[in-house]
Formats: sequence, structure tokens, C-alpha cells
Amino acid sequence: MWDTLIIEPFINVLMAIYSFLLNVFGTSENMFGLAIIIFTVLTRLLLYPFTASQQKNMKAMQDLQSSKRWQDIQKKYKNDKEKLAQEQMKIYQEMGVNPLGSCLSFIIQFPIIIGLYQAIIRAMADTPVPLLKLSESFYGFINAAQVVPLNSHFLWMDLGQPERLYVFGFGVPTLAILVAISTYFQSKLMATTPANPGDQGAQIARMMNLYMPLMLGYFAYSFASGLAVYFVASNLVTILQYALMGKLNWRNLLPSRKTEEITPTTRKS
Amino acid sequence: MKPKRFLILAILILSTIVLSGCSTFSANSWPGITFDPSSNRVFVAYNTGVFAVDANSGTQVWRYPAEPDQNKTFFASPALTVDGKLIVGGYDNILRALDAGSGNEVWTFAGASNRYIGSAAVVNEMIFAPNADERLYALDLDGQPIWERPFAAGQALWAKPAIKENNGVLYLTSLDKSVYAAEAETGNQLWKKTLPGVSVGTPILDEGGNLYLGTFANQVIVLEPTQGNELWKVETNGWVWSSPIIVGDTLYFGDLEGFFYAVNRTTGNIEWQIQPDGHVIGAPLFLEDQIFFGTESGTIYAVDLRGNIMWNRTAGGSIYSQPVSNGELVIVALHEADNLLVAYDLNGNQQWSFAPANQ
Repeated sequence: MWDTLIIEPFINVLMAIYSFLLNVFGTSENMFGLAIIIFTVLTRLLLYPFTASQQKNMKAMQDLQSSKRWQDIQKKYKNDKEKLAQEQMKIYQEMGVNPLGSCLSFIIQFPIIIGLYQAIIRAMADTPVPLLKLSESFYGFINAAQVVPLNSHFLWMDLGQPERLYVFGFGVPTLAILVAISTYFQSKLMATTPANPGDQGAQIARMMNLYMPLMLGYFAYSFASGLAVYFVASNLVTILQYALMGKLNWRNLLPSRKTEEITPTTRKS
Repeated sequence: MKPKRFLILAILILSTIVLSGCSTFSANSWPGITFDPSSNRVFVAYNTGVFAVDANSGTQVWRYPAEPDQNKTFFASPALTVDGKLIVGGYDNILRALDAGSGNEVWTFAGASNRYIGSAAVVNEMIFAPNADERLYALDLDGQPIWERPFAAGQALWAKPAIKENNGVLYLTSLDKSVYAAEAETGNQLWKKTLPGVSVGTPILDEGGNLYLGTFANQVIVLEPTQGNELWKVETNGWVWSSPIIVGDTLYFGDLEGFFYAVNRTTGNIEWQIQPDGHVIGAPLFLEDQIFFGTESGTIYAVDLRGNIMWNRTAGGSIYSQPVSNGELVIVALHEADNLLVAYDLNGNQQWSFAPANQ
């Protein structure tokens, strides 16, 4: 089921892009890395409706949590969590806001990340059984004789292996560092000012902003570098997407902004 | 620890486990099997062990290493030397020479930087070991390199080279969709022929030195030996993983669409084809006017030379390797099955099975 719905379509899309690039450039060198980048751009474009909806939902949540009615029920039921939750839910329903809407994009992306990783590893097919499995995954429109075996070289990397750039004999995980930095910048640039910096949602958001770069950086350090290429490309495309939507918060990169963000007295409403 | 932090940490650990689990299947292959007529033993390399098994009884004589070590895995067919060594390539990038009688390690060669997927070829006192690092290593019987530098192909080498002893030329296929000819003494390249698709099998040579190759371009191609020029080819329904065998004027081979063919090697015409119950990956075996081959579905077939199925037996798992025989029994190696080896007599009666005690 997972193979049929996720892995095989991913493999075939990747292979179709790779095959197209082979025909255009006449060489297999660097082409699979390029195929992953193009695949990432296509994925982000397909996910755009979810991204836009997520943004809309976040804005609605922010407006809602800044409203007088919301603030009032916070004070009124501060000692009755159950009643507070009921009232909050009532407001969500009245305003047509989905409190879990912001998670949707991440929930959709997660199987893509896992699926892409599996597709990259399976497409690499560096031993006989995986190559045999790969041969069974192709759709009719893929010229299997042309694309197999895949050339996994991309710049200085082998996309099927964790990346290290050797400088004076030391293996530096440059891509893992790039993943961590680009994820950090992405989350900072896209962060919105929380209505209630002390509430649970804001705390989780702050923690995710800290843990996500570390987590993805660790993945990039440990797993096939093809996944790291996806992470970097995905982060850059997302930043670009938000920039085009005019939603980037450049001031979040300034050191003083952090204090401003979490201080209730400086909160914008 | 606060519940929220615990939750995030749990997500981190879970994600790592999920991604880690995704990568385990990549180091995977099927058993490599060899029969030694002088000792009447079968040598089989699979996963964490190389096993010597008595061909009459199916009992284990020795295993290497004595205890399984997950860092030492073996899949390439062991190769025997004239001085009683067994050459075994590992997925740990090490080529080992074992004493064929005892299984004791005699020497190791650590000059390669990737896995040994294909079997080594041994001719007289020379060992030719193909490696996935795109190099072919030539060693003497003491494990010392013979050539100034290894032969370099364009991509990984998965197949045992074929060697024409009388003119000292070796032929090898590479994942770069090429077949190479090189001097066995020096490793100097003589010619290179680009193929329409990858060939991962060992080329088969006929009495005139012509090469027969299966390819992923749904073809079996025949090349002449001096320049690699194509003589003729036959189209198949699917990828041809292993090279054909030659019996008289006929080639026998299977493909990944699940067909098994007999092709006239003078005309290139298909004489007959049958469709067994699964993909045919391993080369067939000819014995006593019968052709034996296995399928991915784990069935061993015996067919006569006219394509009539004499018998078939479900052995379990998948059969990806060429069967071997001691003349009385046909022995097949199984991938992902309860047994590693199963032996049948020529009428299809199972005689013994072998499962390693601690794999």
C-alpha cells in the first residue's frame, strides 16, 4: 500500500525527471541531484494550496487570539481549564478557524520526507536485490534501460551516502550544517508574533523552531545526502514562496526582535 | 522533563527510527554458491557466513567466521584456487582467502573501497576480483597485487570476469553499460563496447571466443572477441540478468518478465519459450539432457531440451542463483527462506536441506 501510493510514484516521477535531464544534457553526471531539486520545487508547488491555507489559518488564529472576547474568556475561566477549552472551541467554530490547521502542512510533508528518502535509497539500488526491486517499480512510460543504473554523483557528493566534504583530511558535514542553518532561517523568517507569548502554542512553536533545525541537521548528517539536498532545496523554495506572498518577517533575524516577540507589553494587536 | 519537551523528543526519536529503518534493505543480495568436485562440497556465501556443506548429506563442515558478525557479510560466490584456497569477497570491502578444507583465514586483501558483489575469477595462479568501487583487482595466490594499478571501469563491477585462457584476454561487464576486454597479464584495456543497457552477468564465451551477454535493454547480444563488434542479438520480453548457457547450438536463459528461452545460436531465432511462475534471474544449469533453473517465486524447474517441463518443486523463498550439481543432485540456494540450500535428485525428489544453525 505504502509502496504503491507513495514510493513507486515518487520513484517514477524522479526517474521521469532524471530521464528528461539525460536527454536534454546528454550526461548523467549531476543529473540525479538536479532531479531531486526539480522534484522539490514541484512538490512545493503542489503543496502551495496547503501552505497558503496554513498562512491564512495562522493569521486568523493570531487575530482571534488578540480579540477582546478571547482575552476575556482567558481571564474569566483561568481556573477552569475544561470550561476554557469549551469556550475556546465555541469561538473556533464561530470564527471558522481550525486550531490544527497550522499542522496540516507539516503532517502532509512528513510522508513526503519519508517517501522521498525511501525513493532515493531505492533508486540508488547499489546492490542486486534493491536493483531487482527497482526494476519492478517502473511504470510503462519510463525507459528503464536508459535510466538504470542511476548516476548518484552530485557535485562532491554521493547522493546515496551521508555527505562529507574533506578539508585537510577532515570530513566536514557541510550539507548538514546548511540544512540546520536554512531550517533555522526559514522558521525565523516565517515566525509570526504570538498573541500570547506565554501560552502553550507559542511555547511549542519556540521549541519547534529550536529543535527542527537540529533534528533535520541530524537527519542530513546521518542519512543519504539526497535527503539533505531535498531539505536545503525545500527550505529555500519555501522562503522564496513566502517572500513572494509578502509574509517574510525579516525583523525576526535582528537580535532585538526576539525580546520584542516574547514581551507581552510590546505585542501588536 | 516537561510533557511538551518529552513529546518533541519522542517525535525526534521516532523519526530517526523510521528513517533508519528505511535504509536497512540496501545492503542486500542473494546467496553465492560454488561446488567443488574434488572435495564433493558446496560452498555458499550468504549474509553473515560462508558455509562448507557436504554435497551428499547436506551437513555443515565448517562456517566462516565461526560466530556471525554483522560487520562481515558475504554474498559473492566463493572461488576455488588450484592450491586449495577459497576466495571470498565481502560487503566489508575485504577479499579473503580461506583454507577450503578448514575454513581458516589465510590472508586478506583490503585494497578496495567498496563491496565485493561479483565473484572472483581464478585462472591458473591469478585471481581477478571485481569490486563495486569500479576497479578490477588482480592478485597472485598470496594476495599480492599483480598489476601496477587495478583496471578501472566507468561504474561498479558486479560480475565475475570471463577469461579466455589461450589468449590471456579477460572480458568484464560494468554498470556503466559497457563490456571491456583487457590483457590478463597487465590489465591494459584492449577495447570497450558500449551496450544499449546495463549488463550485470558474466559474459559466456563459445569455442570461437564470441561473447554472449544478457542486458537490461531486453536483449541478449553476441559480440566478436577482437573488437567487440556486434554479431547478432535477440529481443526478449524483459531484462536479462544472467548470461545464457550454451548447450550444443542452443542458448538457454530467462528474463525478468518471467520467460525462459531457447535460442538457436547460429540463426538467433527463438526455438521455444515457456513462462514459469516468476522472474528468472539466475543462469540455468545443464545436466543429463535437462535444463534446471529457479524462479523468484522459489520454484525449481527441470525442462527437457524441447521445452517440456519434466518437473517443478517449490523450494521456498526466492531462487536467484544458478543451481550447482555433483552429478547426482541438483542443489539450489534460497534467498529469504527457512533453508539456505535444498538438494533434489534428477527426478525432483528432495534429498536434503540445509539451514545454518546461527545465521
